[in-house]
Formats: sequence, structure tokens, C-alpha cells
Amino acid sequence: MDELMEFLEELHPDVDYETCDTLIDDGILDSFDIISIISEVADMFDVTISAEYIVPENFNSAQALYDLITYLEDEG
Amino acid sequence: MFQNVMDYLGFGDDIKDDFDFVLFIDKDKRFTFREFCQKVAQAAFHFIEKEVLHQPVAVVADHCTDTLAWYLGALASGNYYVPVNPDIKEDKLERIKSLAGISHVCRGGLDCPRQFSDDELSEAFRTFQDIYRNVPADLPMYVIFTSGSTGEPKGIIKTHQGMISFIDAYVREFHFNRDTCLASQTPFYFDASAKDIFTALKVRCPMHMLDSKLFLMPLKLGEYIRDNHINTLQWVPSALSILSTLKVFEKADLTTIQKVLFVGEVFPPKQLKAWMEALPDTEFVNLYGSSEMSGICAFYRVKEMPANGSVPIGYPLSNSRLYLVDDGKVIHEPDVVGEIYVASDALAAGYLKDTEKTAAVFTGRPSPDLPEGTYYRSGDLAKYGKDDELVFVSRRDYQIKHMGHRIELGEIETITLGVPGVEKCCCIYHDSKITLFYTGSIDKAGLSRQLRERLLSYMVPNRVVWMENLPLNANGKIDRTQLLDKVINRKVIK
Repeated sequence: MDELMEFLEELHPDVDYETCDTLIDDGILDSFDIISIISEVADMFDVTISAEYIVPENFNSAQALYDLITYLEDEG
Repeated sequence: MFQNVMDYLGFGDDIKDDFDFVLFIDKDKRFTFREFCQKVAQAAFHFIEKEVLHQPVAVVADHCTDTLAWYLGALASGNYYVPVNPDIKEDKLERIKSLAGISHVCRGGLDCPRQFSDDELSEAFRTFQDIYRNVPADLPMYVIFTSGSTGEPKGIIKTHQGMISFIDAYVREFHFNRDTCLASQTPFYFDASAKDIFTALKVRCPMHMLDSKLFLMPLKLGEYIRDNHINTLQWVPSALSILSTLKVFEKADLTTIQKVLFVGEVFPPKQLKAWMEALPDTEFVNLYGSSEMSGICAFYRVKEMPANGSVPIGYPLSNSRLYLVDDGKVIHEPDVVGEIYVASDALAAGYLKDTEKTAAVFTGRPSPDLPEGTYYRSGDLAKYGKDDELVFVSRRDYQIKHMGHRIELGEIETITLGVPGVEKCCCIYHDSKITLFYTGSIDKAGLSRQLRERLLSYMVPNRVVWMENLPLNANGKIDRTQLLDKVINRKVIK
């Protein structure tokens, strides 16, 4: 989780990822951020987030993203 | 002879023939040509009633049908339009308004409380004809603002003649017709959207205006393309890469796509290869151009991936001539680097109220070996390859293309320097990312917040790095090469 947070903070240093749960709904992350996140997650966790998981619910908060990664790790 | 785009698009003729054809699709709404004409008429009457004539009008360019109706309504009523980004900062809008002399700002709301009958509509367009056919010959068609290096907005004057010359050549080269089905990704406040908008209007083919949220849901985007039988994409590579990076091809059948024309930046070779492998029967075309150079002035049909991954600029569109010039000499032989100069009927008419800047790039012939006339100096350095195709080498200055948008790194630097607590800064562009290095007392989060307020979203640096001191070169200038090394070797930053 720490590693993920560090990367997200580098992406948008001004966002409070502990509390924000509207990263997509409020347009904080755009499609290019999503691409960066997906490629970083692939390197960091060796997890591929495939297209069907790329929906707003999974990217609205750091926690949701982390939960998705954990889920995919267990699946794999 | 002066021709107005309205006549070129056939609004003067028997528009009734096409009335029931679905032309524009935005969100869940579909607009037939009749419904679109209703909106255009409503917009045109709005200006006529307010006695706005031969004036620039600003249109807040949301990605919807009303925006295009305002554009054409402005033309129909003998005016010209100035698209503005819906996210524009208030002070920048004010600067554009005063620079262009705009008093009217329009946005949406063309819901046609009163429907015109078909006869009334034809009558209305006959009235408009008398107005738009009598505009001064030098009245622009529209003025598009881009980012200037000093942070001052720069207005590029686009002409009716230029648009007609461009769309004519473009539609012919790529065989667009009524069976074409477009999916518009480029926002309407960018000039690159003209090739979607005016292709659709010229050949009367459907154009889907994609909701930008779709790009956050790649699978839905793929399904949308498939379900709506979209066969032509004219997107920036970053948008196309979303589908290939996430392997949407494996989940949704995208073989309806017959043509992919990309423009605005380098297509990452790995992603282009993925597209070409997934869609072996599709035509892939690299487009080259800018607002000054008639939109698109050269193209290259990619048959196979070039060994070095770099797709050529290619060959001129039929309405344009491109020359490589170095030191007053025209280059004909391969592998010699020169700057691209463009001659074309479709060149822009210059920069609004900036004769100095206009004269600097819209020049006379750059070599005595060329015919007299106006040439656009592109700032792009290129050379000829073995098949006489033009190959891009580098930019002459620090202007970059990022996510399809033209950005002067100098503008980001100027604005950053205006943030209290920043002493020095330098922007580096590498691998599709803008990295901002700075010195001063403000922390990264504070600076990022400030930049988000002051810059358009696509100009906000992807990374912000604080440094004790910026490295200097022997001349005492900020050493960009050393900073670039830091960006390439990211570990050093952390």
C-alpha cells in the first residue's frame, strides 16, 4: 500500500488520497493517469489490470484501487 | 472568387433531400440533418436579432451538437466564431475577448422552442445566403487560440478559402463518403477537430461525439465503437493507446474500424504495432500539420512498422507543397536535414493583431529557387528518406506536442515563475511526460495546487521535482541536458 501511495502522490501531490473517494467522479484522475497507474501497478505488483476492471468504482479511491490489486493478486 | 463555407457545405441548396439523415450523435441524443438545421437557424437568428454582423463571437466548445450549431449559426449570420475551452480560466477568457474584440459569448441552449416547418427553414437559409454571401472577403471563418510562449493567447486566423481547399483535398485523399462513420475524440476548441466536423458536414456522414468519460472505461469505449459501427477514427495516439495498452481488442471485436488516422504526436511504436496486428485489414495513416499549415498538409500510409519505430511525415496532401530548406538552399537529396516550409491555398491568414509574429513564420519564399508566394515556416526539422518521404528529425525550439496539444514549455515556466515561493524552474519533456524542476521555498503539494489553478489541465506537469539548485551549464544557463538525464534515470529524482 505504501508503495502505491507514494506513486499516486507523485502523480498528484496535492490530492489527499487518505480521504478522497471521488478521484474519477471529480475528474482528478484522467484517462492518461489511469494508463500510468495501470503500467506502474504491472511493474510494482506484477498484476495486470485488464479492461473489464477499468471502471470508475475501482479507481475512485486509493483504497478501492488497492483492494482491486489484492483481489487480482489472489485470483492470479 | 470568394466562396463561403456555408455554400461549400451545401446549405444554400436543396437541404431537404438530406433532412432525415442522422448526422450528429452526442451522449444519448441523435440529431438528423433537419434537427441540426433547426439549431443552426436558431443560432443565426439569435445574432441577426441582436444585430451582430461581421463580428467575432465566442462559443464555449462543449463536446455537443449545440457547439457546432453555434459555429455554423455564426457563419450563416455573416459572423465568425472563436472556440473557447469550457475549462478556460476567467482572466484568459477576458484577454481573448479583448484581443479579438468579442462581445458575445454563446453556449448550448439551442433547444428550439419553436420548430420551423421545412418551407420556413428553406426560406430562412435563403435569408442567410444574402447575408453570408455579402461578408467582406477578408472576414475570417474562425479564429483559434493556442498557447503562446509568453503565456499570452495567440489567435490563428482561419479562412473560408483555406477550409474549402483543405476539406476538398482531405476528403478526396481518404475517400470519405456517406458510409463513413466518425467518432470524434478531439475537443471542438482544438483546430484538429475541423477534420471531423467538416468532413461529416461535407460528405453528410454520421459523427459520434464521444463523451470523454468513455476514455476512462476502455471496454465500454470498445463496445461503443463496435455497437455503433464506427469505421473511422481520427484521434491522437494517446487516445488510441488507451485501447491497445488495455488489450481491448481481445474483449471487443473492433474489426468494424477501416481507417485510423492519427495526428498530433508520435505514436508509441509498441502501441501502433499492437493496433496493426489486431486490425490487419485496417488502413493506418500518420497525419502531419498544424493550425497554421492548413490543418493537415502531409500524410503517410503505414503499411508496416518502420524498423526504427519512427513513422515518416510522408508526402504532401494534394493542396499543399512542402519544401526542405537549409540556409536558403532547397534540399532534394536524401538524409540532409532542413526545415519544412509549406505553401498551400489552405495556409492560415496569420496571427490576430500580431504582425511581427505573423511576418516571422508566414514568410516570402525562403529560397530564390522557389516560386514567389507565402510560405509557412514550420519550425520542424526533417530530411528525405529513401522513397522521397519526409522524415521528422526534431523541433527547432521548445514547443512540444503533449497528449495532442501544442504546448510551449516556456509558457509553463513563465506561469510557474509567477507562483509566490518559486525562484527558478525548468520544464523537461521526455517520454510523453512533462517534468517540472524548481527551486524555492514552496513545497511540492503547494506548487501543484497553484499550477492546477493557473494552468489548463493538459499543461499541468506530470511530475514536480524540488531541487536545492538547478544545474547550470558553462554559459550559466540552466543545463537542460543534465535535467533530461535525471528524467530518463528516474531513480535520481527520488
